[in-house]
Amino acid sequence: MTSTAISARDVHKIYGGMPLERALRRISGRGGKPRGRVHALRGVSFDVGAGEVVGIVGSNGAGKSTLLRLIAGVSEPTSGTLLVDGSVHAVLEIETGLLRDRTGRENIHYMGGLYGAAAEELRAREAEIVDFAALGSFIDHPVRSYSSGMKSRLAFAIVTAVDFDVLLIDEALSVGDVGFALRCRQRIRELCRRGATVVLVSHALQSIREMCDRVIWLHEGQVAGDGTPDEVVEAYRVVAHEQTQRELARRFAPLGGSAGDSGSVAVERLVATIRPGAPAVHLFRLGEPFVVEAAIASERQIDSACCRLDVVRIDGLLVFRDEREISLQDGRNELAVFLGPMRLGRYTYRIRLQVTASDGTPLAHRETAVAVEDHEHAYTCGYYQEVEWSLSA
Amino acid sequence: MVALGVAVSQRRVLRLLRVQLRQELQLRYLGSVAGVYWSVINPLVQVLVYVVLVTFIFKAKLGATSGGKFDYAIFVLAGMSPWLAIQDGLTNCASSLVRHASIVKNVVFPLELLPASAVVASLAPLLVSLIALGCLLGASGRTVGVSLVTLPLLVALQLLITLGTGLFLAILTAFLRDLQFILPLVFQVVLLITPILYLSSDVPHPLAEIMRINPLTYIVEGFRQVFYDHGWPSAPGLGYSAAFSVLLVAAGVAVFRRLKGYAEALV
Repeated sequence: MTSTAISARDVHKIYGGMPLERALRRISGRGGKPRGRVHALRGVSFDVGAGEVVGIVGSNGAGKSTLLRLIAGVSEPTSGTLLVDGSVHAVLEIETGLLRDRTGRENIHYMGGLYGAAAEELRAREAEIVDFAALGSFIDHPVRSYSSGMKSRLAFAIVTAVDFDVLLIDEALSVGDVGFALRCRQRIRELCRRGATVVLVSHALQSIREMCDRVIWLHEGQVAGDGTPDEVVEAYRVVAHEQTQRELARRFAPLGGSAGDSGSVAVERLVATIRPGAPAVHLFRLGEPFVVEAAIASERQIDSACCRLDVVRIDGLLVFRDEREISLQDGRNELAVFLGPMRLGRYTYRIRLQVTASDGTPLAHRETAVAVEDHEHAYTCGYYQEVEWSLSA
Repeated sequence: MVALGVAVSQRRVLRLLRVQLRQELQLRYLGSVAGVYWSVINPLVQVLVYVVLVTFIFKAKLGATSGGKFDYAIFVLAGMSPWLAIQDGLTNCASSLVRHASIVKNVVFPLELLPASAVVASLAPLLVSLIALGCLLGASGRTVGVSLVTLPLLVALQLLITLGTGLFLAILTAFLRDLQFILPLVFQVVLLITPILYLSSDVPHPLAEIMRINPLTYIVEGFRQVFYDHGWPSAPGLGYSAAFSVLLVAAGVAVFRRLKGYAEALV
């Protein structure tokens, strides 16, 4: 039986709840009106064994960072008990206590000292820290001239170089580049072998899955799931997916009505979906069938019109364009474009369908939008598929 | 087991205080030329202004002066030395949590050490003033008496008062930033009710009473006994100051502990 490193029992955290605090805030008028109570954690209980690597997932505002701050001891629970056995080191913010006006090297000694390392030990480890942070000659420049990636590298290098029992990391690794992320993982695995307990907060579900022995899912300040990475991450993904889907539907709703129709032709409906006739999908998973459906109403028969489908990444990059000569019947024409399995990167895309007459005059257009969920090929943007168009009156 | 734990953590606290103090001093005295200006030249210029004002413009005579040409300068600087250090310490205490926001937010750290290191760092301006005072004494051919042995006690009291007040200021400034800007005004008022520029016996009725309850009075007069009058500081006065400063520190620690859990969300 391994010993317990962190033990949380019915932990609550309420911001802005204390009468004295509220009174002082009112006097000072800081931040305008005093904010109401924010009940960030609502009875969180769990135990983390020594040597475990635990990931914490949850949507924004679920209380992940608050929980980490409480474990770190920089903030105190409003009620409940939170016991941590051993020394805690934390990378809670990118800069993590670095002094902006001192050089990286001076910060190694200062921060290392704050974390309780002796001066001789720091001198002995300086080279190793400098090497791990990979700052090159920047190590002798003031931290204020660093990029956020450099700051987080230095902070992580210092924090993990000094001996500790519990390491807390809040998203700090996500700002580093790929090589650094890899070295971080390596370092964390090494630390775990030496018996350190690690708690990670991250939105990068894939890396949580790879690195953690166990995942805790926080939802609105409560533990919604606690178990193996595969099952908890999957459960969280399903809920997060539905939530994002609803959010996107709300956000994209005004787009649907943005058709600038002129004359006798109108694109009455334009949706992205997984198969013809299915409900509209706003958030796609990688590999899901991607079908664009449209209803084009025409008051007369048009033998030759041009129909163009554009998929434009939200930053303006045209990732896909295809067009067909179509003939429109009098009345409602149903159009379906099969683009094959979803291959787009993790972005939001506008989908625009435009109908022009054979002489090039625009007849009608309509827009909608889709987003693609987080996946490992996050930045691909090409979409070169056999596209199939089908039109029925 | 428990006792060992406490002993270890005390050693850790001392080490942290050293790290923090070194950084505080380096930042102030090595970081920039301006740092040296603010903490050394500025207060000395202030003293010079008072001396010129009183000896050459108002041509005031202190009851006790024997008429030496640096007499009033020594008189003022002796009383001013602890006061300059207290001002410096309190100013830095007030801003300590806000200045070190990234530590407050990120590092598991006994936050009391931030104001505490500002208080210890206030020994630096004291040292500067005492060196200037030594030069003046040398130039005027005066010496100091055996009452110099009470100097450590006076300095200890001065530090305690700075710490007690500083703890309040540090935590309250997190809630009320404006405190930092009100502070210089308060210093002006305290200068008036402390016998630094003049003797407490030269002061009219209501002010004299206020001076008597001001614990700084006895510390300032103690410094002046040591460097100017060559007598012994008043024992009952120092007893009063000591009791006052111990209570102040106790109250400061209590309030600081009570509120420090909220600092992280405010700075």
